[in-house]
Amino acid sequence: MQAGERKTLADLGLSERLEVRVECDLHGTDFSAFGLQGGKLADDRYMVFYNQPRSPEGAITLRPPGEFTFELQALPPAVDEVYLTATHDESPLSNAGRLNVSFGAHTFDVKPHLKAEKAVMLLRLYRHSGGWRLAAVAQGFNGGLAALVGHFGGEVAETANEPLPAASAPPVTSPVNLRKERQRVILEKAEREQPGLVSLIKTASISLEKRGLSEAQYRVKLILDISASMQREYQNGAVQKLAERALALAARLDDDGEVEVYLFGVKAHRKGALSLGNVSGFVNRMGVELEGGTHYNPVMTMLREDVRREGFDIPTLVLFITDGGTSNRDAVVRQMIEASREPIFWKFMGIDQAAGKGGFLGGLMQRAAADSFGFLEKLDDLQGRMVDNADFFSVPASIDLPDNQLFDSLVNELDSWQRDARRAGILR
Amino acid sequence: MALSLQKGGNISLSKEAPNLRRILVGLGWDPRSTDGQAFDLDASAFLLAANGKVRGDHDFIFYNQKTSSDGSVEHTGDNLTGEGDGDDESIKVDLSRVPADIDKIAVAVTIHEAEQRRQNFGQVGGSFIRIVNDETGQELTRYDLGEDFSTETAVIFGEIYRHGSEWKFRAVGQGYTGGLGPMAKNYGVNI
Repeated sequence: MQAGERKTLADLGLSERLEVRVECDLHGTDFSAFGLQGGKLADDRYMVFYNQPRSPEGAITLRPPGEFTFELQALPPAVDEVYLTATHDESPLSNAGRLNVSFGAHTFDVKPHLKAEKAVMLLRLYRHSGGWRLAAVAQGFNGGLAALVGHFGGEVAETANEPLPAASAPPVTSPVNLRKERQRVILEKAEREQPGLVSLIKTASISLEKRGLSEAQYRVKLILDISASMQREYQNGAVQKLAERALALAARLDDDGEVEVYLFGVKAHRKGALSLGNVSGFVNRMGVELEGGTHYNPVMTMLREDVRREGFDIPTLVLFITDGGTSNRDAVVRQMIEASREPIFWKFMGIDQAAGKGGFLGGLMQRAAADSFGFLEKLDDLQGRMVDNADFFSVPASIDLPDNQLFDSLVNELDSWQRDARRAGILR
Repeated sequence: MALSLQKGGNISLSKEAPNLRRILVGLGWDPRSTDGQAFDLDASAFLLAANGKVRGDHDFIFYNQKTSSDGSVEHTGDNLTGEGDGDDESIKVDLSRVPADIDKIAVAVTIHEAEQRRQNFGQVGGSFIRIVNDETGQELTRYDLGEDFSTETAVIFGEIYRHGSEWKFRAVGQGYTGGLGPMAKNYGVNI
């Protein structure tokens, strides 16, 4: 297709369910779709982009970086056109060697039309005579995404980096947050210092996106069990792998991309912050001395103290890794009830040492595990709390489940807690 | 309230305004609100004889030849950007002075340097043509061209034509992909 060309979907051999792929070799280019009403973004939920990869009913979805799926028949009637756009925070898109859009058997080469635009409208899908048409556009703004959002009448959240669009914006429900600087800086740092973590970070972000948590900001804290039964997990690297996954999650959630690490057996220990700079060999360097007991209570007290000192302005996600039940269960129950008033979400991950083990010993272990995990499940469902502030899941001792499943489990219920905590006034 | 026409529709101007003598043909389009290459659209008029061709090059009224030799048709000037409200360019026609062997006046809009700038009517919105009684300022009819264009670079917006003793207007909306040159040639102008 060429710029300005307009065709019905039928003429293009396409249906109202269509896939559009944008390809661009300029690093850092973002792709978005805007569902408009009368030329304006009347509802910010119809800006589908990296921080919001899905329209409310799923009629527009983005699989980053640039694969869009449209279910046009599912769009509300009020949405009468959809623009597909490419934007870059710093460079004119003409710096790309290649920018093209493909759909069905067609390709639209946008590159020859570009001058100094940092934001360009690629395609327009619009209702016409009872059906949908597709227009190849290739027009844009030198001012980038903010100018584009301004053009569509959206409101851009004020940040240090993005000027507000000059165009007058009609009132909308909530500003669109374009700020992903923090996450991008961390990702770029990972690309330089820990390339092995980059795909983990992306996998973690998909699990967050699925829960609508792409924009969520949490302090991430990791609590590790150092009771004697954990020896194998420390020796075979399973704990190090877990630490790396906690860090990947923090790269998307945490304001500084670091994870504060705590150990507990009989006592509680602060072990400093895990970061991209020190993650390699972190668990070995901790010099863990296993302890002959499992007491949740002291480490929970320590963590709650730290959270109180750091402030309640940002919520905290606690990844609590244990392979056994705690002593002094009543105290732990009281802690959880008290902590339900604090902006802390407790994610308990039980390592099931008995899984797959047979024989007499295996049977004993399984009974012990059932008791321990029964308690953790009870914490998950504990009554008397202001909101449900905990979730529990268990994994077999090898902890070798696929990363996407692990991340899904780690952020499960985080969205519902966030909503409930906000409603209860625990979280701003 | 002026009657809006659909593509292909026509209206008798003489019936809308008895004793109509001078009209203004107003043409408009939306300037691009985006950055990048500006659009320069040009209006032109072709005075056509019964055979559908110009009698000579002097019957082609455009930015370089703003008035017909008999003075009946006058282009009021080139607007280079399309900015501002209302008509972007206009053509005045004194119907009473249009030579008897001129059967119709076709009014076209073309995109300047469309090929070099990679532009076409698929990228232009809000196009319209309206006919105003230039003596009273009353709008007689209007045709909004809508979203029907694609890669065309020249569009006949409408034509004013004789029907017996009346003058009528037809909403044409016919596009061509070649630009002003081929369109002029098509009407018999030597390019």
